Amino acid sequence: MSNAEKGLPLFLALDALPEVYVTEAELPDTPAEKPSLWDRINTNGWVAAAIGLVVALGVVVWIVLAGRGAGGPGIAGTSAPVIPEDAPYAFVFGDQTAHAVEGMWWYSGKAADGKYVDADGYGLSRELLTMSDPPTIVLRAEDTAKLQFSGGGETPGEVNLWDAEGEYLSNGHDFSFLPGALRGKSGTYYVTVNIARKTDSGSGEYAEGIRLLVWSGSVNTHLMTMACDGYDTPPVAMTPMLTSVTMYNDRNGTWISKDLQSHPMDKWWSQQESTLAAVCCTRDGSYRVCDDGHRYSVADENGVVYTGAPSGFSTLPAGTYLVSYSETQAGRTVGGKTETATVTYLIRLIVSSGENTDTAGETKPLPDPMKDEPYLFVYRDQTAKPLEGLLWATDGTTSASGDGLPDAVVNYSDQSVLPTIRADAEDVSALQFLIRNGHTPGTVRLYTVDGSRMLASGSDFSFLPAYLAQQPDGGTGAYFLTVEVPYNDGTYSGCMTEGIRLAVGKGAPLQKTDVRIGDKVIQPHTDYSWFCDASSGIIMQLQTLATESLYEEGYLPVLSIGSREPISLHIEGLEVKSVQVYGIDGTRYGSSADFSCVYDAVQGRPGTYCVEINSFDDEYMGGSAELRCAFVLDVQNDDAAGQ
Amino acid sequence: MQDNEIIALYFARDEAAIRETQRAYGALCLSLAMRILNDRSDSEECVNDTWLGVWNSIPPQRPQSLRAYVCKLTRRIAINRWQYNHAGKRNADVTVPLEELAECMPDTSADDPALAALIKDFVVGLEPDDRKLFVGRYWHGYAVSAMAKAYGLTQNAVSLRLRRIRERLQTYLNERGYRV
Repeated sequence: MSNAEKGLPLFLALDALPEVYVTEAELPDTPAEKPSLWDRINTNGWVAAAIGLVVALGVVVWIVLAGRGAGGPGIAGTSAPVIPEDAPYAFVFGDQTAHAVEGMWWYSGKAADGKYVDADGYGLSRELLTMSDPPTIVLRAEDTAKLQFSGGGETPGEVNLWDAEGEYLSNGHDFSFLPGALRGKSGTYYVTVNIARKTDSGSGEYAEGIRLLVWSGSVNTHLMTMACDGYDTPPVAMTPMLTSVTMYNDRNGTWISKDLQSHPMDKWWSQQESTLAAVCCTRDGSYRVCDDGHRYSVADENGVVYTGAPSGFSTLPAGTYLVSYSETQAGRTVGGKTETATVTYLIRLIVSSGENTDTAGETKPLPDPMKDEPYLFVYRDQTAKPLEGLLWATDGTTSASGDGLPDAVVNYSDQSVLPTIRADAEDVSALQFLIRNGHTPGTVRLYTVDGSRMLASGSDFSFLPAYLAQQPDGGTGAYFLTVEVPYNDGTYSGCMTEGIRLAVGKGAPLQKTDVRIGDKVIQPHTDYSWFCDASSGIIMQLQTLATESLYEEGYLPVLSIGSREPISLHIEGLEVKSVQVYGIDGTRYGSSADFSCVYDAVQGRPGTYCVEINSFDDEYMGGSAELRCAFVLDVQNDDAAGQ
Repeated sequence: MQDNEIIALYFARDEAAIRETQRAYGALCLSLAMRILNDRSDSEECVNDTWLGVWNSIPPQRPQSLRAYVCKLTRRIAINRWQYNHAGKRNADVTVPLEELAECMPDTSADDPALAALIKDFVVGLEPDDRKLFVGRYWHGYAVSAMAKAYGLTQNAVSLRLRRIRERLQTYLNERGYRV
C-alpha cells in the first residue's frame, strides 16, 4: 500500500465534517486559485527556459510574418488584425483590440524526468479576473462570433467562456458558440483561447484571455424608429450608430465606460454625412422617437441642445440635427446586484421647411406601416408590432440560442418596450397575425406575462378562447403571446418568434367613445399611447401608428356630412383633452382643446379630413390610459350636388 | 436561483434542476475534481456523475446546503476515480495531501466510525485559522501555494502550520488509544 492510499481513510473521514467548516475553508476564487504562470516559471526553471524559448521564437516568427503582411492564424476572422510586436496575442473586434492576458496552463504529458508536472488550473487567469482595468472588448451578444484572435503564429485551440465571477460557462472550437452561450444576455464575461505548448520536456496548454462586456443589443432595441406627423417621411426604422456603452460591473461595483467612437457629439458634425443614418422630417410635423421613455436629446450644428417631452419635438426649426438616444438595458442579477448597460446611439435628423411644394390636391403616397415590419398583430382596430424573439436553429450545426422569448419579456423590468394588444376575453378570437413575406406562421404559445412559464399553445389562435374561459375571471389579466415564423439568413435557419403582450379584459371599453354628429353615430378608431397597468401601477408606453397611416390602412371609420350641414360633434363618456384636424395629405389644419378647430377647418370646405381626439380614460383595464380616437370626416360638396 | 428553489425542482423531478445545479455549482465542482484528479476529462465526467448522484438522491435527501452536498458527492466520486486511475502512481493531484495525512493514520481499519467521529471533533476544536488551512488542504485538496496566496502567508508558513496541525492530530489520536 502506498503512503497516499494509507492516508485515504483519513481524507474520507473528513466527509463527516459539518458543512459550515467545509464552506468556510473554500477559497474565494475557486476556479482561479492556482498559482500564476509566473509563479510556476519561478519554481520550475526548466519550464521557464522552455516556454521562454518558445515564446521568443513565436514573437520572432510573428514579427517575420507581420513584416510580410500576414497575420497569425485567427479564429472566425478573415482579415489579419494589426497587433503590436510586444503583444503577440490579441483579441480583435472591429476597431477594438484587446491584448490578451496569459492565463493558467496545465500539462498533459510527462516531463523529462518522467514525472508529471505539478500543473493545475484550467484556463482563467487570476490576474485577469482581478485586474482593475483588464483588456476589454465591448460588443453585442450576437456579434461575439465575429471576434478574432491573433495567435502570434501559434494555432489557437479551445475557446472557453467564463462569467464575471470566473466560473466556467461553456466552450467551443472557435468563437461561433458564443452567441448561443450568451443567449443575448448583457453582462461581464471572460473569454480565453487555449494555446498548445509542446517542448522536449512535455506538452500542455495555457490560455490567453480578455474580458468581454456584452450588451444585449437585441434586434429591436438597436433599431431607432422615428415618425413624423408630417407626410414627408413615413415612420422610419434605422440602425443608428452605437457610440458608447457604459456598463455596471457587479463584481467590483464600478462603472465601466467604453467609448466605441471617441468623438464627443459635436465632433460628429465633421463626418456625419458618411457615417450616420439620417431621417428627414418636415418642420410642421412632430418628431417622435417611438421608444418613448428612454433618454434622448437633439443638438444642432451650433451645439444648441433641444429637449423634448417623450411625445416628441414639435418646435425644431428647419435644419440638420444630431439625435442622441440612450437606453439602459438590464442584464442578469448576480449577488443581489443587477448588471445594466447604457448604450448610446446617434442618428442625423434633417428637418425641412415644411412648405408643401406639391401641386395642390395631389396626394403623396402614404406610409406603409409594414414596410419595415413584416409582422403585425391586429385586433379589431388595434395593431401591435411584435418584438422579435430569439432564434433557434434547425440545421443541426449551430447551437440553439434560446427558447424564443424576446429578451424584453425575460427582462421584465423593461415593460415599456412591450407592444400590447388589449382584447376582450369573449372576443379574443378576433386576434390576427399578419405576415408580409409569405411565410406561414407556426406554433402559437401563450406565456405568463413575464415569460417565465408557458401556459398553452396551439397551431393558431383558436385555442385562446377555450383556455381563457377555463381560467378564473374568464382569463382576464396580462399574458405574453408568441407566434413562430420561419427564419433563414444564410447562416442560421430555424424559427424566430414574434411576440406581444396580450391584455385581456372584459366587455368592450370602446363603446363609450362613440362620436355623434346629429343623429349619425360612429365608433372611431381607438387606441392608447400609454396605459397604467392596474396590477403593477407601471405606466406602459405603447407604439401607435400615425393617424395618416391608420387612414391609409383603412382603419378609420368615415363620417360623411354635407358642406352646408350644421356640424356639432359630441363624444360620449370621455373628457376631451385636445383635438387635431389634418388633411389626408398630412397638412395640419388646426388643433384646439375642443372641436372648434374642426368646425373652423371644414366649414364650407369640401374635402376629406382626419380628426384626432385625445383624451384620458380613467377606467381602462382598472387603471388609466391616454386614449386616442380618430375618424375620417368626409365633407361633401353640397353646392356641387345641388347643381 | 436559490438552493431551495433548485431542490424544489429535484423534488418535482424537473430536469431543469440539473441545469440549474450545473449553472450554480458546475465550476466549483469541476475545480474540486480537478484538484483531486488533475485531468480535465476525468473531472468533467466526475462532475456529470455528481449530477446523476444528486438526481438519484434528492429526493429523499433534502440537504440544508446544496453547495456542500454537491461538493461532498464530487469529492467522493473523484476519490473513487483517483483510486481507479492512480494505484501506485505518483501524480500531481491529491496524492501529496494524502501522503501527508498518512503520517497521522492510525493502525486501524479504513472505515472505523469511531475514528471518523474523533477526526471530526479534532477539526471542530481547531482554531479557526488552523481549521481553514486543514480543511482547505485535506477536504478541498487546495495547493499550499493557493492557500498561501489566499491567506496572505508564505508557502513555508502554510506548510509549517499544516505540519504542526498534523502533529497535534497524531498526539490527539494517540491520547485516545490509537497507535499512529
